[in-house]
Order: sequence, then structure tokens, then C-alpha cells
Amino acid sequence: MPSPRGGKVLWLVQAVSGLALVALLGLHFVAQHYVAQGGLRTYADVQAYLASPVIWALEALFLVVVAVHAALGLRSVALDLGLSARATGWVNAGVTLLAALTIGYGLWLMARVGGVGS
Amino acid sequence: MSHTTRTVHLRVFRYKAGDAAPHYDTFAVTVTPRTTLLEALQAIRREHDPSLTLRHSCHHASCGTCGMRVNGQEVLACVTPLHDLGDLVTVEPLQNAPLISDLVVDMAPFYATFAQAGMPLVRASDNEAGSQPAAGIETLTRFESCLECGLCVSACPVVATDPRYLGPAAMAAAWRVVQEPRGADPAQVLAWVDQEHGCWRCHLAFECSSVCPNDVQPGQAIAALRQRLVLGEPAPPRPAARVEAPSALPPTAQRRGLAAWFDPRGRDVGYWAFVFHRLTGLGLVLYLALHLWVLRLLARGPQAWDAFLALARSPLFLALDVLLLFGVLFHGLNGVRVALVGLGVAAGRHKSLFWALMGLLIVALLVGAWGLVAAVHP
Repeated sequence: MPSPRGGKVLWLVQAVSGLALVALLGLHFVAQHYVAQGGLRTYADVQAYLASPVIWALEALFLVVVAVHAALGLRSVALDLGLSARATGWVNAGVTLLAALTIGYGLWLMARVGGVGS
Repeated sequence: MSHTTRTVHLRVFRYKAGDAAPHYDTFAVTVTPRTTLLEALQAIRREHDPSLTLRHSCHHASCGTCGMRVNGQEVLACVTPLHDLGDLVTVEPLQNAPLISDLVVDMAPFYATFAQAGMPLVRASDNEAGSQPAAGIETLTRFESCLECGLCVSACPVVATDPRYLGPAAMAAAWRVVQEPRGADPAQVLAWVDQEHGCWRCHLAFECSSVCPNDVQPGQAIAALRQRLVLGEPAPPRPAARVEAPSALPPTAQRRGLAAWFDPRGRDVGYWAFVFHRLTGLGLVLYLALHLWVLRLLARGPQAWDAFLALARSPLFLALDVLLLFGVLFHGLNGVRVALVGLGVAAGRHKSLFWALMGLLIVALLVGAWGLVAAVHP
């Protein structure tokens, strides 16, 4: 559970991850919808796309950043509701687990479809 | 002048200790262009119902005691003309404070936060003509401009839901201590606001600044506190007496809760930016979950994924993609504003920044939507 001082650190992480998402999500959106022929990538296109180690790393970074940003956002909404310390602890554990599962699942999927940046 | 008088119906919130629930009474009052809400309420007491309870003193926006809500917006009754407010005007007490009777709330918890901020309720006299700012002070705008009316606390969407949030008035007072300590220890004040339910809980709706009758700008003060905490010297360890932030308001306070987030009456642009930022944020989290669920088809191989693509290129999916693009653009662009303003950058021009970014949103949405359609149907 974050310390009472955690507010500053978590707010900064939220802000910096948000600013990073402007670039990373923009790249993801353009790559998947505007550059891809037909507006979406076929299975073979996805494999070819993820074969690049640079792209793989950028998509993995995007996954981590978006999961952290979303988890902190959910936590912020929950804490606005004036939760008790016990409930806040559950929220912290819940969003941490959610972010970890999201990152784990996403990396597994990327590795299965495109290898590990091979 | 008789031809400029008109009849206004005041729908007034009523509650007395022991009542099962509040109700509203409607009174017809004759007003001129100069009749204030306070004068109309006093006329109701004289001519219709002497049991109507309200608080006031100076009649010229100096004492800050006649704060209430008119058609949902926090105002000082003594300087609020009734003539142009329509035929039916709803008058209610301030929110987020314990209700005592009718339009009177208990201000004691609100006043108590000033002492915690290191700024007890002692006001100095106004600045004298020709006086110069002290070294390190940009202007002579002093926190002593605060009337302690409580309008900002009533309007704050976070106070409405989080009972431990310190609130805009106390943190504006804290910023004044940091800005001009006058013997106080600013480090202790910084340590007090540097907590989850302190300045980091604020979501920069700036409704506090919008309703402030004396231009204290608590929202900008909170942004300045954050800037100091991020860029300034580290705050000292929290004093033992302040480890647990005392609740700014007791649980009996007339707190609106989540309903306050969606009450459109009398709110300014920053408030709506806050509400839509929340809604688009929650929507994008839902989309992320749905997106990951759909991507499981990739794990099933090319047949499953390529079959889904045919569906994803349908007009309905394209429309949903444009909706997604709007959500992403709003959350992203307003998020840039929140990050910048939250660190004290352009806090005084947060509205202009918002509208500039919304202009960018419209351009990006049009270009992006056209690009989506063109990519699928070249």
C-alpha cells in the first residue's frame, strides 16, 4: 500500500505515463489503422509487424505504460469516493493485479504470435 | 421605476431539525433590476414566512456569510441580482457542509481547516495605496482576499465524494503561507498538503476558482503547491500530529456524492473537462479490456483472426472506431492540459488552453475519421 506521501509519486507517474501514451498510442493507432493495408492487419501482417525487434519493444512498452496508466486512473476514481484505509488497500491490490495480468497476457500474446522480437 | 419591476418565484430549500426530509417552498416576490437575492429572502421573512432561516451580515460581499446556491451555482446572495435570473429561481444551501436549518450550514469544520493550514482566521487590513510587494512576491493579491464564504468547498467535485480531501480553501491558505510565511514554517505546511487526500487529490476542475467571489483562485494555488512540491526542496517528515489528515467535513455533512459530478447547473468549462476526462478514461479502460479479449483470436491462428477482420471492417465497427478516436483524443489532449496545469504551467490560462486543445481535437478527429474510412474503403 502506498505511503501517505505516495500521492506525489503516483500523480507524476500518471502524468508522465499519460504524456508517453500520446506518442505510443499515436504510433500504435497509426500503425494498425492507417499504415496497414485495408485499415487492419491480417494475421500474416501482424506476424511480419512484430518480427521487428524495435516494433516489438515499442509495442511492449506501450502495453506496460497503458496498463500502468489505466490502473492508476481506476485507483484515482476509486479513491475519489472517500474509501476507508482497508478498502483503499483492496483497491491498491486489485489494480496492481489487474495491471500485472494485463501486461502478462499481452506479452504472452505478442510472444505467441510474433515471437520475442526475433 | 414601476415598469421595470417583475415578479420572480423563489423556490427555496427548507429543512428544520427533526424533519424527515427537506422540501421546497415557493414564494412570489416583486423585484427591480437592483433587487438582490438577499433582499428578496429578507422580504420573504418579513412578509411571508419569518421562520425562513438564512445567514448574512454586511450586505456588500465583505463578510462572506450569505453563501448559498442559486440554480445550482454558488453565489453570495447579497451581490446576486434576481432580475435576470428567470421567472423561477431555485435557492439552496451550500453543499458539503453540515446542514443546520433551511439555507444555513455549519461552517465550523470549514473554518477549522484554516488553522490546520497554518493560517488562522486573522485578516490583515487591505493593502494601502502605493504599497509594494515584498521580495519574492509577484503581486499584492493576498490570500486575505478570501472571505471564508465556503463557496469553493461547496462547488468542488472532489470534496463532494472524498470526506478526507483537504479542500480548495484550506490549500489556498496553505499556498499563502508558503508564498509569504511571515514567521510560519512553510515546510510544515507543504508536508501537510503533500498527501493523497491533499493537493494530489485535486483534479483541476477549477470550479473553486470559477465561483470564488473575490478572485482568490484556489485551483491555481493548488497547482502552485504541486509545482513547489515537485520542483522545490523535499518536504520534511510529516509531523506526528498530522500523520492522519483530519476529515475536512464530518460524515453528517450534506455531501452530494457522485451525483454532484453530473449536476450541470451553473458549472464552468473546467468542471465539464473533469467529468468528461473521467468518463472517457473509464470508457477507454473498458475498451482496453474488450480489445485484449478480441486479440485472443490471434492466439487461435490466422483463420480465426482473418474472419474477425471482415466484421471489423463493417460500417458499425468503423463508427465505433471513430467514437474510440474521439475518446482517445479528448482524454489525451485534456490529459496534456491536466499534466501541464497540474504542475503550475499556464494554470491561469487553463480555459484558453482547453479550448485551444479542443480546436486541435476537432481537426484531428476529422482527419483521423477520414483516414480510417479511406484506409478500409480506398
